[in-house]
Amino acid sequence: MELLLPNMIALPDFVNVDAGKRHDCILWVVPSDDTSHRFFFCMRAKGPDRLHGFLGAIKQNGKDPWLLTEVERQRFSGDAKAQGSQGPITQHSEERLVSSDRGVLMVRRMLKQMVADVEAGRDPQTVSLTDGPPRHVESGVFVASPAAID
Amino acid sequence: MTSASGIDTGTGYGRKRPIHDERLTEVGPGTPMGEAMRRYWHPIAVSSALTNDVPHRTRVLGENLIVFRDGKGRAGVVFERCAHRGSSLYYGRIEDDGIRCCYHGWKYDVQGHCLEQACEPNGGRRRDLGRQPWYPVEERYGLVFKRRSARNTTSVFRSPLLMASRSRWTGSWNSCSPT
Repeated sequence: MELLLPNMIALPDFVNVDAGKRHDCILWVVPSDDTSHRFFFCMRAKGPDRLHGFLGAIKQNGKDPWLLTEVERQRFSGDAKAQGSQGPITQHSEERLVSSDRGVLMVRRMLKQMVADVEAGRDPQTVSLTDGPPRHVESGVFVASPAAID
Repeated sequence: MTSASGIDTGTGYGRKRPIHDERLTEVGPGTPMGEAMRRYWHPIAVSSALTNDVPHRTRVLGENLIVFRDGKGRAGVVFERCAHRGSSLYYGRIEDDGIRCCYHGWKYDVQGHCLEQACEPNGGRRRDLGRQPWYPVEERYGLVFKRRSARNTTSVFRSPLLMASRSRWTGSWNSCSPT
């Protein structure tokens, strides 16, 4: 997965995970206001199967999320519960960020740089007044060799 | 049993009110992040769903907007509140060259120019003053994109993946409300 400032994600198939498979989908997360957003996606696919997998393949306890009982919601809590339960806007003053949160800190730092650039009259990252070549995105399913992990 | 001093530490009592980082999260007009986000193109509608039948209503970066396709096939996005008296253009009528408010029949083109004020003599002698706030749009990859201004800007994100593709699937959904 790759994130492009400010709000784009390049995503490979996360249901049928194959090593070496490239991303086939671009997702935009567009804020509606301070506490809600709307997803837009465009996907390269031969037929609707990939689309169905993208939209509905993740089930908890064999069920679609909206069919779970209250106790199942607790026992099989997924991304939506983990993220949504932080509140409409998370309370940054109460966080205790540690080394595994490095990615979160990186994104926040880049977003703050974007804000600072605009305030200073500069063009923020990925905005360019000249039409360059199409942007190359490295995203997909990759297998790290044991040596690389060491 | 409490400690010898009788004071427990680390309890929830007496903590400061939690706050969020507004520079990182608030996107309305005039906010620091809102201004930064407005430098980019954002998808606001799916092209195939945008017919010249009825207008679409959406909300982007804290602004209520109407997205429509006029009878000539041009996509447009304007403020939801009519510049005349504030009626919602969601209930407006799409015509060949624009969208007409349901209340007093003011008609705007895809760039917000007021083409006609139906109840005024000669369609409104000063109708050019009644411009509806609008945004530039561009259609790409089966999506309708909007930006704050088309002047001094780059093009919509150019993706080799999507540009080369003959078979594309597009769509959108709203975020779930927090539980």
